[in-house]
Amino acid sequence: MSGLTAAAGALLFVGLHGVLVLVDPVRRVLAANVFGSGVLLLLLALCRDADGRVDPVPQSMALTGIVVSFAATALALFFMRSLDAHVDDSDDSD
Amino acid sequence: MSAEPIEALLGATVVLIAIRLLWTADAFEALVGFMVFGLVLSLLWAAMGASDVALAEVAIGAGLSGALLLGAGRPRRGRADDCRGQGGSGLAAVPLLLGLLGAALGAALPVALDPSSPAPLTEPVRTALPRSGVESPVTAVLLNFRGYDTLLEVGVLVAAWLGATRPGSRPEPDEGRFAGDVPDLLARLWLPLGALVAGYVVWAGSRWPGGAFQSAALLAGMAVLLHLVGGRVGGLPASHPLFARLPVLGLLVFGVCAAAGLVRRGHLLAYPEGEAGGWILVIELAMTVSLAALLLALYHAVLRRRGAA
Repeated sequence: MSGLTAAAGALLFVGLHGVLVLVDPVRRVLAANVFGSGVLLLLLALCRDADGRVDPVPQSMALTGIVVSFAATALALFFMRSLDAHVDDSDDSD
Repeated sequence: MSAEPIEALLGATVVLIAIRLLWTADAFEALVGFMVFGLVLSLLWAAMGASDVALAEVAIGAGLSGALLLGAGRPRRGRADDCRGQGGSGLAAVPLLLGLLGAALGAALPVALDPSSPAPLTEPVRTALPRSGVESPVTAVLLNFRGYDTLLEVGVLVAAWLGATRPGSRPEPDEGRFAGDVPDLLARLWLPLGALVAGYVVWAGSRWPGGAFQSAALLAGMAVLLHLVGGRVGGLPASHPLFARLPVLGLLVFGVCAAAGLVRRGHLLAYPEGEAGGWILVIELAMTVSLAALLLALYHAVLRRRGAA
């Protein structure tokens, strides 16, 4: 069990560091996803019973989390592309 | 426990892939690395016994996100320098050290918490399962015990879709980008099989791992494949606006079922005693179509070009 929480902790730190220091917006989105995966892993790793079975309630939450993080990724990429297009436009008018 | 070494190995692999994909100098490698990250993570979920999460991760986290990122995350014209200055050494020292620190803290966490306390909600779910109308505990939680969460989640997806919708934009030129004999043949082989599997996954969801989310992700993936080879659904291109109307269907059906509970039982989302299985199946089928359309609409919304055609 502690092996999995260790992996989750590492994902959280690496993901957060990436969100804060990376320059490329695509990589920031990827880093936010890595952070999110760390959260889900921590949630599921901590919610196992003595036989190693995963609690169905956090499992449903993780399932929901995966779908919502896809929506967040898509929205972030949409904003990124809109911003790029905007910058390109002002470059053209110069 | 016998699965523990495998879990530890997969966990370490996931962390190393994450560091590599975030700090590589090559933008394309970062995107492919993210897909590999999702695949290995889904193996980890499977090893942990969280099959439902594994299915969703492999279909959405690795598949659909990958397709979206490959379409939208390509280095832009004249902006290649964005990707430089990331260290470039592949496994940068600072993230590696931070990863070790996080791992140490994470490993200490179960010790700091009470390790003997059992998962608190496993037993209540098992006790209530016979009355939920389904046999799979995860489906029971998603569509019966915590139906509110699922209803609001569809709301979150609709909100994201509305946020990414611009009037007057036109479909991206990727349609039929991979048209050709070999992709065509692959699509012909894969699409019927994928649709069959998606149908099975939603049906199996009442008893075994599976359900609306996983099935919808598969369907959306098939639709993206169809779009990329330039295929048509009943003579209409896959990006036709008609398919963009489908997302509201699931929310409507779910809302009507929730309101029916309010009228008949006095509170939202209460299924009549003994009829829960049927209600859940109706909601699941509507949700599958609607979620697939939502995921697909998000994919198209991101890749759309600006301005009227």
